[in-house]
Amino acid sequence: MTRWGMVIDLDRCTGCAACEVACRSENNIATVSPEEAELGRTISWMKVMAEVEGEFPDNTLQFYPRPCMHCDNPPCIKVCPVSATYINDEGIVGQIYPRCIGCRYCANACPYTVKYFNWYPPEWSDSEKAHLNPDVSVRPKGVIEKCTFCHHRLQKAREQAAAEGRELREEDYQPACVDVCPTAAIVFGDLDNPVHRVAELKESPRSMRLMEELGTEPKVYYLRRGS
Amino acid sequence: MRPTRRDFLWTIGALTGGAGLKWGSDVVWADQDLDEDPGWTPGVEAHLNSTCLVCPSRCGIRTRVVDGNLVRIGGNPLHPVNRGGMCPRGIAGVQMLYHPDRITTPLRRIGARGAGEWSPITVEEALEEITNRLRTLRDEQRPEGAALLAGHASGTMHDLWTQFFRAFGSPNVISDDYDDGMEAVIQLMHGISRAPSYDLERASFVLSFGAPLFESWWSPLQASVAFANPDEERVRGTRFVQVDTRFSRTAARTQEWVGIRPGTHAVLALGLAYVIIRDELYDASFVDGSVAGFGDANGRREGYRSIVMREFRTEEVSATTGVPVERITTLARALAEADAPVVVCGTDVTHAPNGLLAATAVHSLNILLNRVNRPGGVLLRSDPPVAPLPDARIDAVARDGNARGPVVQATAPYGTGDQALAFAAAVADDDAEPIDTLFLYYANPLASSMRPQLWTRALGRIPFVVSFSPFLDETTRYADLVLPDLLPYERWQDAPAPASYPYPVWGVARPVVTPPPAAMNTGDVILGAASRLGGTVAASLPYADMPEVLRERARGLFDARRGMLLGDAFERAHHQAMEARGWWLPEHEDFDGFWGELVERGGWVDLFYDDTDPARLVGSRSGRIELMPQELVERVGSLEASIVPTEQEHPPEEFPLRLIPYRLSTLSSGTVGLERWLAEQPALFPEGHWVPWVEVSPHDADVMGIGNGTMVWVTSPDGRYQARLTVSHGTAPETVCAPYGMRHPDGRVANPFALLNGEADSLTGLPAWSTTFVRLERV
Amino acid sequence: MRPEVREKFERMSQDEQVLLRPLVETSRTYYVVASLLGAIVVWGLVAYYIQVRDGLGVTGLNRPEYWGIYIISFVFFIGISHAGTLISAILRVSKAEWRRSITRSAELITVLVIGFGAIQPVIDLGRPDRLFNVIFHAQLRSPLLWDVISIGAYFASCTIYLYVPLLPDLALIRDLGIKMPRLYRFLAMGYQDTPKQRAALERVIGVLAIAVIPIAVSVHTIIGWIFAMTLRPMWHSTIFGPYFVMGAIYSGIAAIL
Ligand SMILES: Nc1nc2c(c(=O)[nH]1)N[C@H]1C(S)=C(S)[C@@H](COP(=O)(O)OP(=O)(O)OC[C@H]3O[C@@H](n4cnc5c(=O)[nH]c(N)nc54)[C@H](O)[C@@H]3O)O[C@H]1N2
Ligand SMILES: Nc1nc2c(c(=O)[nH]1)N[C@H]1C(S)=C(S)[C@@H](COP(=O)(O)OP(=O)(O)OC[C@H]3O[C@@H](n4cnc5c(=O)[nH]c(N)nc54)[C@H](O)[C@@H]3O)O[C@H]1N2
Ligand code: SF4
Ligand code: SF4
Ligand code: SF4
Ligand code: SF4
Ligand code: SF4
Ligand SMILES: [Mo]
Repeated sequence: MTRWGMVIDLDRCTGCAACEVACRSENNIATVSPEEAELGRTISWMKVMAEVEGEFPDNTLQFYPRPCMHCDNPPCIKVCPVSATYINDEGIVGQIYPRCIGCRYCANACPYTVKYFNWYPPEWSDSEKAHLNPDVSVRPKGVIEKCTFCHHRLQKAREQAAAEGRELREEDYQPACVDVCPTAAIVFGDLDNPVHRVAELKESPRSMRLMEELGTEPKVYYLRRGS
Repeated sequence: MRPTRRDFLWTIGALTGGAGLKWGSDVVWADQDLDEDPGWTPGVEAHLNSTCLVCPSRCGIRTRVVDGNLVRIGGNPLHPVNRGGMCPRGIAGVQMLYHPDRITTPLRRIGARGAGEWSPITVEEALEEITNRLRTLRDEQRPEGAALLAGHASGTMHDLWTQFFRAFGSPNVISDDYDDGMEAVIQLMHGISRAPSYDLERASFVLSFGAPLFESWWSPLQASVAFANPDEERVRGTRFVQVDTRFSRTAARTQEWVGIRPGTHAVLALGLAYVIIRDELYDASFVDGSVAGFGDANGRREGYRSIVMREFRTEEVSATTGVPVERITTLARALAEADAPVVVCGTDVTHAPNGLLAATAVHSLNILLNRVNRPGGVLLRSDPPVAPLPDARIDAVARDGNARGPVVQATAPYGTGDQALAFAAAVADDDAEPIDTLFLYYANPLASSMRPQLWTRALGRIPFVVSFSPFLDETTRYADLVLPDLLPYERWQDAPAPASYPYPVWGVARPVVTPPPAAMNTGDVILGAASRLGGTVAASLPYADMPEVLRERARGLFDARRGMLLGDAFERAHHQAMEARGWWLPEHEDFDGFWGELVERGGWVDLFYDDTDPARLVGSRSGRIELMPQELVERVGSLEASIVPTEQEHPPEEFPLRLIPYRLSTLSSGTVGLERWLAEQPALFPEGHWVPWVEVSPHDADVMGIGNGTMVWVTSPDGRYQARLTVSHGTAPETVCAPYGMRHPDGRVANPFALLNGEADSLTGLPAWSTTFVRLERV
Repeated sequence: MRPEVREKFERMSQDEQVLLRPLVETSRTYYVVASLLGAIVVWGLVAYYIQVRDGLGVTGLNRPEYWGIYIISFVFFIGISHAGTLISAILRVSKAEWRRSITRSAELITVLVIGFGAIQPVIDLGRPDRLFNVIFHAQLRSPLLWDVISIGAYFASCTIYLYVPLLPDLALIRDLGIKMPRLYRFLAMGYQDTPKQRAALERVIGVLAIAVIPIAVSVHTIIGWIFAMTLRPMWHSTIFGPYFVMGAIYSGIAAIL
């Protein structure tokens, strides 16, 4: 069975936020006004969290890039009254924007706080509409959105592979955040496919998952800082 | 009839229902232009390689263009500098291209200067106006009345401007570009006129003295790629240590951060040298054979060793720098014992009053450990062998103009310093109105200069100001004519890798989308003006357009019989192995094929560095590296005395906090409207949104009684601006860390640069960035 | 008051006159109070219009706790709704006779307030225009769906529970013929207050009283379940079911008092 997943090496991440911006560009994520941002209503499917400890000059800082965990046992989909969020048979947890009624129940159910609500209609200036990615729908106001593992890329990669009459390869389907990460801190692939790098990395002794005790079975693994 | 209760209810009901219907139909759920559902008709899609021109790193990009629109910028995996990685600024280039404030047509001022009244004109008219003005200057025998202020002009754009001005006859070419002052260090110590490159990828220990490697260094991507170390055998083998006054993102993410008092980097460097010499960890045979100035010269001149052993004992160094004694010892040993260490010197060292001396002290570690011209060390490489422009043809008018000399003369012996500021000062004060026409290329001094008022005065004395900026920035608003450049994704330009990268790379940026018809690549403007002026100017720039210039220059690469077109890891390794054995096979029979594929792949690189060539180590006649350059010693008397900061460093009474400005990796200088994705969240630590901020330690915030989030005035004797106070646990007491590059949502620039006290290194002229003190007050 | 009505009215007993006067006569106070309340309703409608037009952002709700005032009101009103039915049912089942005087008002509170409660999550929706997706795309694992079902059932049973004991009174108005005779004839459903009918009525009320209790408990536990299904610290807890039921009983009693 294919189970798409991610391994993020905290040793390599430099907190540059290229993954965040790449995700915004790939997935047509709009900005909010300064006042809204002040309230914490920004949308960032990939959010690099910074955890600082200590006082000058004995500080330490850890960055945690945090997409949707695409839980194998996702609490978010169970609570949605209209199946507007679902898990497919390859483990990708998706959203159906035209169906979502905006009750935000799933957002409360997600322990990782990776779901974002469109409090206002997303705004693009007329000139900026030119750079929207035609593969990804633009959300209306009032619905929930989140990281999709860029699954529109999977569809395209499948079509491409089929057209070329070959199997899907690991490098055919890579999300936008993975593509741009300058330190290759994010690795993506099929967790159940032994030739994919994630299958090996997730067995590393540094490997861990967030809030594992909740039983959500996240498919995003982290490699703890080792050095 | 009296209204009954029933009428009353009916009326209310009808009114509410009516209003509901009316308003309900006004509700819009999603933008009408944008389809709510996926499944738009698939467009015609292209993936084109090009080069990012947003910062000096010049990374390779792979763009995705759908139906003629640029929808994504990713990294070009073939490019050796970034290997497919990107930084947020590069990715957000799509928002620069489609920025709502972009100008797409030439403008002629019709109202008063700065009033913002324009009438659109054609490119032809604009070019005509410029050339008429220039022609008149030559007719009046004063071509030196034309001047250029160029912010960022590297490679061919730099060459075209210089060639144009030389042939035209004006020496007034002012550059205000990234300068980390290291070229002067190499010149003085190695006798080679070249900025150092750092072979980070093959190094095993990188000690950075305040170079913000992952943030605003020459190439943050080069540093990130090396940090991740794609070389499979040595995954996570390289140790990065950051010496920094600030808990910067680089400091936070390298394996070790050495927090240090401002201005004491050189003391720490020589403190490390002390341990290395004491424990005999330096490369003695190399020092004996190739280095001058290490030992004492028969009583005539005290040598490096004696000075270091006497003045930089660990306890004293610890007291000055604030770095604990064991830390100094361990660090020195780790550095010296690593198999491929390299010491990187950043602008925090050179942009200081004793910057040049301090930088020589830092670089001396590379020499003691024999790390120059060695794999994984400091390399002094050559430039890509592009064909030069033809020699400029100089007629009598030009010869006389050039001979009259520039308005500003470099006053510092080892650098040009802040030429733009000196230029403004000269023009503002000179009654003779020496400058008639000023070109602004990639420059916005009214927002970015340390003394904007001086620039206002200077511009007031220049009758004709032309800006090539594609945005109506502060200075452009003040111009008489705007001939907007194309944006990087619309124009042809070459993009050589920065000096920090150890191999010559010649990237090409090419149009991936159709440019607006009424704007023009500034390169083409230069060529067009030259051909209209005719005579020797036209003969010096005999090209029809930018593609032709680049193509002609690339002939040099084709003929060099070395290097390769950008290729994947396998091709790179293959090429490297071949060239190391002295072989080189041409990939292309003819130049046309070569050029076509060069553009297709995004550029050219030569991944071979000959570290056996002694000419890459020392260029001076003595044949020895000068550990303590004789010239410098003669100038300053005693190096050690000049390196240890003097006690005047105490803050003045009313300004208790030291201002430490720094650059956010997401933002440019902030002199134009920002890309929205970046403005919304310029940094993750401390996290901010839209509004400029300054950071202080929790202790100082307590003492001042100003809480997190309060708007404050940041005031120095030379200026002030508003920002929001952010209490940060990573900030040293008695300092204010102030990011560059931000604007308030209403457009006001928040510029720490304009607060600086104007102090500079007298040897290089480079402005000191961290010697200013400020106070904070509630707005 | 129309003259023929006045004539009939005059013939009634004092008690009946007091009870029935508001049906046929409108006082000044009525207009004042109705206008005032109407104004508040219009205010609310305008506010809701603004919310729908501009987006839920105007409410000041925020992440990471995405719910706020509406869901709080929801829980509150559903709690209050116990006032009536549950309490009157419990009292009826336990044959507490002193209840008679408060039953009617308690039951009325229930029906109205459950409506107020039920509308809250709808107001809270980002896309109220898609409300019926809850039916078209029902997802049976979602507590929210069960909430809709149980609240629907509760509302229906409470309405019936209010209506059935009302029959004798409706029949009375019909017989007096002072107001909209056809409507009251329909509403009274041919009730004639014969002993047989009266016994049947008592029996039905008894059955309803018992049936309504588990429905009420389900409404409150489902709300508890809604919160418990989120993996939020403090929300993810089994305490909410009993807690809400008990809370509802208290708040219900408080509302009646
Ligand atoms: N606020 C602030 N001031 C600063 C600094 C800072 O970081 N912040 N840094 C200081 C330093 S170190 C320096 S080197 C100077 C640099 O200062 P400047 O030389 O003024 O350079 P920039 O601020 O980068 O501004 C470049 C201008 O080029 C224009 N531009 C943008 N893209 C293009 C293009 O594609 N083509 C052309 N022709 N023009 C374009 C924009 O309008 C922009 O205003 O500023 C100094 N002052
Ligand atoms: N993202 C981004 N990158 C850029 C630019 C940009 O605008 N944006 N501009 C480019 C240009 S024009 C330039 S000039 C360069 C400049 O870029 P850098 O040379 O990297 O300059 P800053 O980022 O200002 O670095 C100043 C650093 O010095 C440290 N520092 C502060 N005070 C002291 C001190 O007293 N002593 C020492 N040793 N260090 C101190 C601070 O912690 C800060 O990290 O960046 C280039 N790269
Ligand atoms: S792009 Fe990579 S290095 Fe940068 S923040 Fe994201 S994960 Fe970390
Ligand atoms: S991380 Fe949250 S949104 Fe993503 S699958 Fe898990 S519960 Fe659902
Ligand atoms: S907000 Fe949308 S996706 Fe989430 S639970 Fe409600 S209907 Fe489902
Ligand atoms: S996988 Fe795709 S959607 Fe998810 S964070 Fe990365 S870029 Fe965004
Ligand atoms: S580092 Fe500079 S050149 Fe590279 S992608 Fe970022 S902005 Fe562009
Ligand atoms: Mo600069």
